[in-house]
Amino acid sequence: MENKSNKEYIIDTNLLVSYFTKRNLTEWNIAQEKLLLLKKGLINIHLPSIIIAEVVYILSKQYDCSKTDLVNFLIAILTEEGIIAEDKHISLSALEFFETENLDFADCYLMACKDYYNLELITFDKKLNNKAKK
Amino acid sequence: MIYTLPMTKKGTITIPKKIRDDMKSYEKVVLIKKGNTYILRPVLDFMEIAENFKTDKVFTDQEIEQARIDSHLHRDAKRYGKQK
Repeated sequence: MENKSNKEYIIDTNLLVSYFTKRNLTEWNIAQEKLLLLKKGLINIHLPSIIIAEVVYILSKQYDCSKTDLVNFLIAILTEEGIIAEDKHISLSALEFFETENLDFADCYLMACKDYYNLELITFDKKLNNKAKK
Repeated sequence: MIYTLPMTKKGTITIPKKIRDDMKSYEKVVLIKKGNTYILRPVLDFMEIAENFKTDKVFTDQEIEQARIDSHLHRDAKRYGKQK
């Protein structure tokens, strides 16, 4: 659980992308500083699921990052105590789906929501529909 | 390696010693529900994962921003085809 007295930040997609890819040294230094503080439990960071989805897309499609590295990285970030994400459990489950199923992250997020809330999925996407019925 | 774990009436299970010993090198593990399965997954150090990632790909800020936008368009295009 996050420390409520910590200073809180919200991060954009490019902070995680720059940190992971080391594409820009100045940005990497800023990202490294903040993520180190997060790791030490000194700050809290809000991480909305839409940012996770963008990071997944950019690292996998642009940088050809392996699913395993990508999922390990994001699970490790999400499970830091200072990370605030109202749907953390759904994002974690979506990442598990993403690693093993041949679906894009948005579909994986839908699958995770469907499971978590025990809902029936209505979609016109046949592939997703088949996965959801398994 | 597969273990069948008995569950107490209170829902407690004991992770076998061999698995616990394997997990000692990790700071934490996460239990994730995926469909009808539960996955116990060691959490790696995100700094180490990022440090080990190597790429020779170089993108401008504009290309990264475009990729961010594409991440949303990609799904629409896949579902509905390209709009004319």
